[in-house]
Amino acid sequence: MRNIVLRANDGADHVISVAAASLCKTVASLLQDLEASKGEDTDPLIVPLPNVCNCTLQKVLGFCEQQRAFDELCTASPAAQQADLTRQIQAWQMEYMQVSTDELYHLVMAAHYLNVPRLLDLCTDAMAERIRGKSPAQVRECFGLKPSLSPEEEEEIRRSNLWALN
Amino acid sequence: MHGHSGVMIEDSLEEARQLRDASVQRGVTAKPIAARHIYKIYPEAGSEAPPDAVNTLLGACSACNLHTAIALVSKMKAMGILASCNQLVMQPTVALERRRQQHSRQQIAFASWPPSKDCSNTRCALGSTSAQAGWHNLPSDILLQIAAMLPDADIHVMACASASWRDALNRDIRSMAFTWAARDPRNGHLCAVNGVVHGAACIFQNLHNVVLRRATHLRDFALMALAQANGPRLKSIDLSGCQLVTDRGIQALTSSCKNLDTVNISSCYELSDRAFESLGSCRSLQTIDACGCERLTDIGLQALAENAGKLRSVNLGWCEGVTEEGVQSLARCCRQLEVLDLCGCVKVQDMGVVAVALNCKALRSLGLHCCRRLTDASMAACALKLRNLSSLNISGCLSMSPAAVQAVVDVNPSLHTCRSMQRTVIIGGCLALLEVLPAM
Repeated sequence: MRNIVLRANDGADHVISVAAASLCKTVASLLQDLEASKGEDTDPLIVPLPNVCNCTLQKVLGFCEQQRAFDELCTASPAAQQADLTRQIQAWQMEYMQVSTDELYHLVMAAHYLNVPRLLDLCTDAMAERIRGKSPAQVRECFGLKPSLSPEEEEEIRRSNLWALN
Repeated sequence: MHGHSGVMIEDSLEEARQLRDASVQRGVTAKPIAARHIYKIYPEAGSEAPPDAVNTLLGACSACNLHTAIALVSKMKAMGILASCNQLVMQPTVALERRRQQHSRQQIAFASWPPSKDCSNTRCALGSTSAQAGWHNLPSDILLQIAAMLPDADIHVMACASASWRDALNRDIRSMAFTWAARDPRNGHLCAVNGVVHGAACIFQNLHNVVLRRATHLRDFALMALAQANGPRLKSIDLSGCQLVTDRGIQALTSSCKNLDTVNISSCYELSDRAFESLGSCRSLQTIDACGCERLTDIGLQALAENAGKLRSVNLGWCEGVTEEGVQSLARCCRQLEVLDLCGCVKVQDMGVVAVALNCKALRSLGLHCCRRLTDASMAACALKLRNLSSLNISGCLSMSPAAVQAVVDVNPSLHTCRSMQRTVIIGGCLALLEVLPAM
């Protein structure tokens, strides 16, 4: 079994298990291809990820390892404990998603780039929660969005839809 | 030395670049095609391929998908073209926004690994601002995934918050309800629905389905703006209970949206024959719910029926101005009718129902609640021609005899009057009909 090394954009290396890497679909399919084509290669597989910074990569890998551990627990434990386990997982995920908006951005982009569906779901869920029930101005403030409309567009919308800009 | 293959690479590169640009524009990844190009040129180029060309071509592929590019690198490594994939830095999926196209060239550059110190410094410097700039350019699939979890009101807010979000949502949102607009605390007052709908016309231009149910303060100008913005893409609209919408609003709707197939204008009390005449211009109209349009008369119904021959489901409940003449022309023109509701059309006489029974063989559901002028002649025609009825409402039709109704039930096996099953023959108020038995 080969080791997989994910290299963040500042050169930091992270060795991860194949089981955890399989949650990253991008890495998993790469792995599959390589196993099929060159099985005897024992060099560690280095995957450079130029647009994932070290701390984000660490967080993503933390998620992968933890989810893998939870999965194993789920299959091992009897049906009676499943509900308890689900609660545990949800609590952990809630704790995990306590991040600033900037961190959330890097996390969601990394999840998209590495194609980790479960993390992506979690991130989009967190983003939806941050949008829910807010006015456009509050959403802009929350995500640091600058109104990127041209003055003409803005005037057009202001005229037709006062509600949108309040 | 490799003049011929060099030309080929140049050609293929140009093609790959075009593919990339096209794919970015359309929002589709062209990876399979780009990948094929690499395989095509490599056997001839061999290990002497100009490194720049290799890099640019890989860049074109990696612009589409990281996985494709990594796979290509591993294949190239196997062919002995690259010593190690560690030499390469691949850039991620290029965001599909049109705005970013001009920057895409910078993003698809290959760099040597590891990056020089300056490079990492700029990354750190960018780190603080990149998230803020990045939120604008969130990939549209992520945006849609977020939108899928939010109610329509918040999707509208998202589109108002950022122009690039608006563009991405506009491209992919197909269905929008504005039922929240009247009671959303962010709006404050009932008339705000006009502002919201009018503003939505600037945001959503690819809607197929619009729900304006019970927008009691919706006015024609807002409906017009939305109809013009969405044009022929609009397929279905629910205006039930929009009491202030007039004939002009419906005329504007039908002149822009020619492909409407489902229209609900129940309880739009202002609408008269002119609205129905203009609805006739939507030739693909299949379902219309005009329940409670009191000002509709035979003239409007005839104009609608003559043009919209594909109608399958028509609800004319409590359209008290409709008589058997209007129903006759409807039956003659729209022979594919499956559902017809005439509940409360008190002026309709037997000739109308007889025409329906003779012409519309596919009829599944017939509602005649309170059509007091109907007699056994209607039932006789139904018993003679209709075989697919699965629902019949004759409650309040006091002049029908048990024998006539029994004949209809006998030839339509889907109708039943059993208490234990859900009754599909509704005979409320007709004491004489209690003895009608289910078909054996």
